[in-house]
Amino acid sequence: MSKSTHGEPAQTTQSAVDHDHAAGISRRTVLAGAAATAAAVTIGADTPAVAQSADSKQDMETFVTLSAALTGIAPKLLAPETDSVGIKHDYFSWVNTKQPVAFARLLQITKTAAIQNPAGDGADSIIKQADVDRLVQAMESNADTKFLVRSIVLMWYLGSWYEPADLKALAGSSPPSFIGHTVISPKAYTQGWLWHVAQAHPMGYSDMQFGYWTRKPAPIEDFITSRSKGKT
Amino acid sequence: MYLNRSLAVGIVGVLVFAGSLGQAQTTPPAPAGNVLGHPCNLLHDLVPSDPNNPATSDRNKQTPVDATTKDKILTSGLPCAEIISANGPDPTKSSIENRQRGFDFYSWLTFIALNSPASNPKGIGSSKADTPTIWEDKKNFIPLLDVMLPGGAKPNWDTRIVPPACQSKHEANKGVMVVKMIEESFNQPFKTGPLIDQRNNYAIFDILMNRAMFDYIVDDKHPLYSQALQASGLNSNLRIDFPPGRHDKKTGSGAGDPGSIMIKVSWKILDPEDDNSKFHHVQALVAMPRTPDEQSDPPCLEKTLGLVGFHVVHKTEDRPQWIWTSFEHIDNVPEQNDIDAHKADPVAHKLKLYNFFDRACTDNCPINEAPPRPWDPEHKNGLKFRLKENGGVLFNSQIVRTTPLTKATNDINDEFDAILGDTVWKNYILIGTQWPSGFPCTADHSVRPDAPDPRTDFDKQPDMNCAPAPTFLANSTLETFSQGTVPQASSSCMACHGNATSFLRRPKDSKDQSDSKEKFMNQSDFTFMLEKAR
Repeated sequence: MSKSTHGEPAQTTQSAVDHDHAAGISRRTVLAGAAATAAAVTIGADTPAVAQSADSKQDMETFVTLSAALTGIAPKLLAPETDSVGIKHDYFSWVNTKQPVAFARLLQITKTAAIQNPAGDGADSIIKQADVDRLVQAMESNADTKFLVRSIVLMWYLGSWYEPADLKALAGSSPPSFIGHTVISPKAYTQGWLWHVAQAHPMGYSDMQFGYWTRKPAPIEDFITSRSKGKT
Repeated sequence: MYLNRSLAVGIVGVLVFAGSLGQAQTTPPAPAGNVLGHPCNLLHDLVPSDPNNPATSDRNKQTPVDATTKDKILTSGLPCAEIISANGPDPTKSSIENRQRGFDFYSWLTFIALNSPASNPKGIGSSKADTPTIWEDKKNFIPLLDVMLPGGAKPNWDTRIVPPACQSKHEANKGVMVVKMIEESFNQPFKTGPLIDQRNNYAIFDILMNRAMFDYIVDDKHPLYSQALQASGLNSNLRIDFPPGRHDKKTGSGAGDPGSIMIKVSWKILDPEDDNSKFHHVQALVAMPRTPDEQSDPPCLEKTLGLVGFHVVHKTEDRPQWIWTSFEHIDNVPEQNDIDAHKADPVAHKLKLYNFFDRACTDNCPINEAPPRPWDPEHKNGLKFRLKENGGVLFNSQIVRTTPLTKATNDINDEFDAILGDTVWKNYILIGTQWPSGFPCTADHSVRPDAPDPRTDFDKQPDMNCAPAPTFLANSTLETFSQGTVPQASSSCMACHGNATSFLRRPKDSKDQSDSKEKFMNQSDFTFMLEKAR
């Protein structure tokens, strides 16, 4: 029953630049994933047929790095060192089942991009923009992964799965047509990062203190960073 | 004005209560100096890295639980707080697995300490099935219903209430346990239904607290034992903050205090056909719950009660969301895995006799369902569930554990059961320990010397519970009908108790709620006990 504010002592996921005080959240944080997905096109990378295993340690680390680059959220928040929820396993398994070939290719692209996993706190806990740009550039040349990465971004933010093919159809439709989605699991429903960004909680589920609705929400930093004032 | 009215209500309550609802039995005051938790038990799952400080940890050496350590473990006493580490000797284990092992080790030490003989705290190795335990000793714990008295009367630590129908029997045997039943004594949390065993008896639940919690509730500065006092001006700015357990980590001297501990137990009524030797059991006078249509005093039944479920909840300095420990009798229920294996190969995987599962029933025994209503025990039936018109059994619970114990939990159970030898306590298993896993989040307030009161920080967003691990935990006798893994619906100790409130009221002159100093928080520090005030 948790959100991902726990874990390591990062101060914030916000970038030092592009901070939108009116919205209370980094523009880059929100848009990094969308930018990555929107720019992705076909590549012909040499990839294995499937990911190494359903959840090998190396593949999982690559998946977290990929997800952090796409979402703009610090890896240590997506996958805390002491992770009682383990939503990353659910998501990895889901994508690997749904799109094994394209997912394997995506992991290979991420490995090849040699993205540096940040070790710092606050803005320094987010993957560097240069690394994100390099990853996006690599994905731009591959049609299989272009809409899959968009599905992955939506999965982390909404806890729901949008089929890459539907997203592809949506991108080409005018006016935009309705597309369906699948809530991945009850756990995923509670773990969407959208709720953190909105300083809110999903309908029907909250871990906030009883009576929170009578008070103003805490600052957004409380929702999208891990706490670090105390000892670890 | 509010206070005066509250006090008046309290005084009237005392008079009404003393006059008609029960007799107060006062025992001699407890001797000065509570031995429980003094000195603090500093054993933990890793061997100390500093031989002079048992609170330290060598990440490469796990504390063995075997014949070489048996005597030390069984006589080491109550931990005042947990000692855990993210590290361990097995490189394949994650930090959460290592920490879980530490908390489970702590849970076993706590279980052993609290269930050691009251007359010999170091003697669990030779205790009998009916040896009174430390937690049953009036010196150490008091039932909730002896604290939240009718009319909001002020309770006394040394006084136990004996209902009218039990008084003559109690006079004849003052050592017998008295269990006063209310709806919560037979109906499970959120009124999800009673649990009926395979002898057609209701399972019975009881809640107790230790002296630290009692003293906090009766503290004249912030009295919490009555609804009126909770709602009075005395408490309008109170943020309820029960004292946490702590020990001396720097020197490992054993100095410290166990702080607040609450216990919830479940009992199975033992019939003559039951094997009492398999259960820790007590002789009890059970006062049946009052029913709306029965105006006379509820009957008092003499029963032998066997322990089948045991929750311990302990607040510690580093875990202000408390640590939630759950044990069960080994014969309570099968796991779904057991049933599946039996179905696949009935010869190789025989099902044993269970307290709350009929292995012979294949038809009309719905799994994990509550009985048909009405649920209240009928006085004419004693504590048996009502029968069909033709006298046949109407309903026995058919309960299965839906979330199997982890391998790690089974392993640590095997280790501790082995050192418990032939005592009755080898028949009990740890179901799990739930703890707040977001450590920096957890520590925000509680360990900072400059933190304002309460050091328990309830204002965390979005998760005041700091990521409970495991996310869900259910005891098959105490959260029978809310097992599972569905958020908000399945049993999670912290997620549920984090919503506990009290009768505190917002100060009349409170201003802007966005100002943290003025913020009113109707919380009760993870316990529903305060809601039972009258």
